[in-house]
Amino acid sequence: MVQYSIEELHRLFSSGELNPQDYYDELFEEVELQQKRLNAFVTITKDKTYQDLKNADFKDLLNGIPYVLKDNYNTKGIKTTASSRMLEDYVPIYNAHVVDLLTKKGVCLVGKASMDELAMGGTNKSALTGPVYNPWDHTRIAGGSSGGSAALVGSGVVPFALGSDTGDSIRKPAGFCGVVGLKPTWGRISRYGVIPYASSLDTVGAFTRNVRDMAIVTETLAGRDDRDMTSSDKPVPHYLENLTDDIKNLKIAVLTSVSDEMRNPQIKENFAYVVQTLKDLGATVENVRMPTEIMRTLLPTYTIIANSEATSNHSCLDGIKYGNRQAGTTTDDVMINSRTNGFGDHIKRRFILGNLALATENQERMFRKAQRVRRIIVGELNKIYENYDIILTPNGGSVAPRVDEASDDRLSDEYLILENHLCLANFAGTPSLSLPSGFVDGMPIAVNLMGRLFEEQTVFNCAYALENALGLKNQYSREG
Amino acid sequence: MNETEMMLKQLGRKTMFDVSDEEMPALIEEYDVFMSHVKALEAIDTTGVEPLAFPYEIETTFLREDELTYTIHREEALQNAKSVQDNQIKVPKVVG
Amino acid sequence: MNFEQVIGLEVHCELKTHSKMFSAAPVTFGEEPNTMINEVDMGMTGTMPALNKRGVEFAIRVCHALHMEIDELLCFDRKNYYYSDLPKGFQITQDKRPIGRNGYLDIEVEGEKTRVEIERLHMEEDTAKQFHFDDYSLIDYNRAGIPLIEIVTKPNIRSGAQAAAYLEKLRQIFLYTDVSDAKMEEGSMRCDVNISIRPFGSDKYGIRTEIKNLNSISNVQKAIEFEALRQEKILIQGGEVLQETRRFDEDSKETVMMRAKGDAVDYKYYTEPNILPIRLDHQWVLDIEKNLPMLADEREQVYIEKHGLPKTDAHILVSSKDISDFYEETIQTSQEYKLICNWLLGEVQAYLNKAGLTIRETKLTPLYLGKMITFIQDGTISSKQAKKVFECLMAEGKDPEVIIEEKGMKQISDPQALQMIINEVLDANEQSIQDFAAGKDRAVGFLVGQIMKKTGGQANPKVTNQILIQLLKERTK
Repeated sequence: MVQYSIEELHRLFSSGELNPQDYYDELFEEVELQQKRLNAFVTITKDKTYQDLKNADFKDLLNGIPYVLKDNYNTKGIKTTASSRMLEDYVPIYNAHVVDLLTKKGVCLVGKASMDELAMGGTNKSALTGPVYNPWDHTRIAGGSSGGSAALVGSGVVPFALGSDTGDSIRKPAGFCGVVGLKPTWGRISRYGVIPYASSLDTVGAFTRNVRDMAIVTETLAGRDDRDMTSSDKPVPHYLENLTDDIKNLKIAVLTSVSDEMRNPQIKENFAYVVQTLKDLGATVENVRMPTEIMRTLLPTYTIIANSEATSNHSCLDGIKYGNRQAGTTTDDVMINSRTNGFGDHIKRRFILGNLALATENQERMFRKAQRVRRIIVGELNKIYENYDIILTPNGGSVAPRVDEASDDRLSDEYLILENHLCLANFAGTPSLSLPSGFVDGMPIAVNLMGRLFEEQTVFNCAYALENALGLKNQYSREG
Repeated sequence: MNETEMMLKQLGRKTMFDVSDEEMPALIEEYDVFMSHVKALEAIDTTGVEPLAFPYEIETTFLREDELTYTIHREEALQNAKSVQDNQIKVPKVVG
Repeated sequence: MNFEQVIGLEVHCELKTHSKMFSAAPVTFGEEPNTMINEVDMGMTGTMPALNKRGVEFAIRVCHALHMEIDELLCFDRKNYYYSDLPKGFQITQDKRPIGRNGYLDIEVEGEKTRVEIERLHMEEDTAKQFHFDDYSLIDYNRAGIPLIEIVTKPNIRSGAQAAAYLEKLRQIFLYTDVSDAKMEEGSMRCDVNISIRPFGSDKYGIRTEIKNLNSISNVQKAIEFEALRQEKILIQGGEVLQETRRFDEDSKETVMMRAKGDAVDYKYYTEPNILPIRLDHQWVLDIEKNLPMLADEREQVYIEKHGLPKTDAHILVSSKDISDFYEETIQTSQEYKLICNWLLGEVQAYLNKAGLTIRETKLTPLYLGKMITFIQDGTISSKQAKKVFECLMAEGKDPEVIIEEKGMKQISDPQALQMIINEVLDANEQSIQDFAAGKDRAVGFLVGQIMKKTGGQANPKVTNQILIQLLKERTK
């Protein structure tokens, strides 16, 4: 089975060169194979796919195109678990806004993808259905929290998938799986109907295998939705139409506070090559720094804010109206037993600590302190944007770790800064795109491009130019 | 059980969880990391800096018109509930 | 020792908007359980709030009526706690920046005027309704998300009577601004009381208790009176009042302990991350004030100053918005203010009391009442006849004109017709004319009697009198 991009598939379907039925039959053979290898699906919606296909006319770019949703998108009538026992057999009664948007376009849903439980993790090891494996090497993780979506695009099963990103949950797995991942501007895409993690950081975004496809999907998802009061009514540009790889006028800042922490020589070399390539393309590329003591606060700030908001956001999961319910003699007991049984241990710990930081007696010292530091961090970042269109960083310091690998030294700057810097874009709400930049030991690595608020177009253009220059697009792996 | 463990167990109850003895060591470990984060932030001078609750601060103007209403079917509303009686969700007697 | 009561009230009021505060589900009362909801009201994970414009407008109306400063930048917070009637596990409310601040309401108790200072007014959402049975409870989400405003006074109420007067007046404001039906017994208006006592002259606050579950204004007063006495007894015996939450037991008329301070829930308020600050259109806020319906006090003043009603009547008239509204509509038909007022407070009120109905539940309409008043005024019917017309009006709901026609009750008020009849009577009673000339007043009475006899009592007494005197004078010139 040949794996096509959205644009290719559209051309082949609409011209009649490719028989959609045959294509989908083949696709589901591949789905079965890859599911055995990667464990990336929570639910495969084969019946619905063929039903969607029946209505397809292939006129619009996305019409008849297969895709996958992270399992935290509410889908009416289709089980939505967020990879948590709490929602193991929860069947939503409504669609997320973007699901409605895509349905209107005539896309074909192939399934719901595995994720870290409630999106709270970076490995996808905490999913109720077990770890998701990396398409390039199944002894390694796909990353998280949107691991299933990343793996299914990276294995060429579908040309695009949706994920959600609170700290780096799209961009980290995108880098590990060798695909393009975008966290758009906070407010660019409606979050209505997406099971939240931390609302002030959460964004909805996509995985694709090239930048043009990302422009197509993002353009479809973006725009105002009155049900999400934080969604912007700024007009949505025609990202694809406006796409250009002429970046001569672009000013790019290399955030050396991050890149200096790289230890892996091959990744360093790759990053240097990317910087040179951008210069060769005519962009102005200069080094900038943010104060190291501020960079060291990224993870603490993130941990405190994200856990606090998460514990509040998930208070609705109490076993009363829906979700896992365990017996108890009082209503409090029902809630306690349901929640104790329904959530994984690490989720419980994070909720408890989030509650600690929100408690009135601690809030000033913990949660509000983190919010104040957030303002300082965002202020520093915005200083850079005064002079630069794009901030460039390595996506991370390593290739995807092995499934059984111990976690990094959590207090080193390499871990604190390099591995956790992507949440900068969540703090500031700015668009951030991870783009494959090469391979190390046969595993994909990536760089990250962060733009100004609502300037997705600039990010796309820069990524497009780089993608073309690097010659890295549409790669996928079905073995290993 | 030491003071921190007691505090965390109580906090667990307030978060509607029963923290078992087996879970306690991992919780303590994560609590220590969490408190080191708190400490790390204390090192930053935030005098005169207001908390930032959103990625960016803009004023919006939209208010939903109080016109169209939208309801779901009762069957749908209750379909995910584990205990239903007389079209309502049933729980053990609530006191207080 | 003499003690002074220090009382603060927290009042919740459900707003009668079409849809809920943050969801588009309809606001209704008494519908089938769980039919007036959508995914937002059920706290389905992933849902988000969308603020109701009319909910804000209603809050602003009440702010204006209470002379409050309005914060034109709306900010919302989350109040976090776990409870079975709270679908999201938090309530969206305004903690840090209430829409209204620093208002007041003037009240009067036994002729003594007091100003109750109001600290804040904020918007929030209601919880689901729970029905409790012997060994289980059932939850209906229809009420979940209904807009609420909460109004908190400063602790400057000093007696149960003042509290009752404040609540009565506040209730009137809810009714006159048309934002709520404000029924305490049905829960669309709720009141919690904070009360402490201190020796007169002291400027320190004593330990206070909170009283909940008060379902009528008179119970608020009773609860305060009981609780003040209870605290007084404790202090006199050298004891200490405990900070706790109590409820009012209707049967024993006593306050009973619900929970101690130590059990208080930490609400962990923080900024609602799904609602960015909302800047209200300044002109819109001004327009709401400009278009604010006339409140009870203003109406009372108009009734006294412009309509010439006695103060007590005007006061009684506005004490029921139903009756006052009826009056307002009736005066579109007839400007006999005093007569209308007398009828509303007299015959109509008596009828309502007897029938146990509200005025809108009867067959009486402002138009028909106005017409009847006009017929009385222009002499078409006598006030005695009017009572009969009124009876028919209430029983059949017919136009008074039709009733008068059907019953043949029409007075003869046409001067020409009367003149003919009177001349006939005078022709037949020469003796009476002479008696009149001799200054014997009872002759007139006798003649009127004769005229009434001849007309079957339908001669308009006033007109008859005028013409009779005039004719008598002519004949005795």
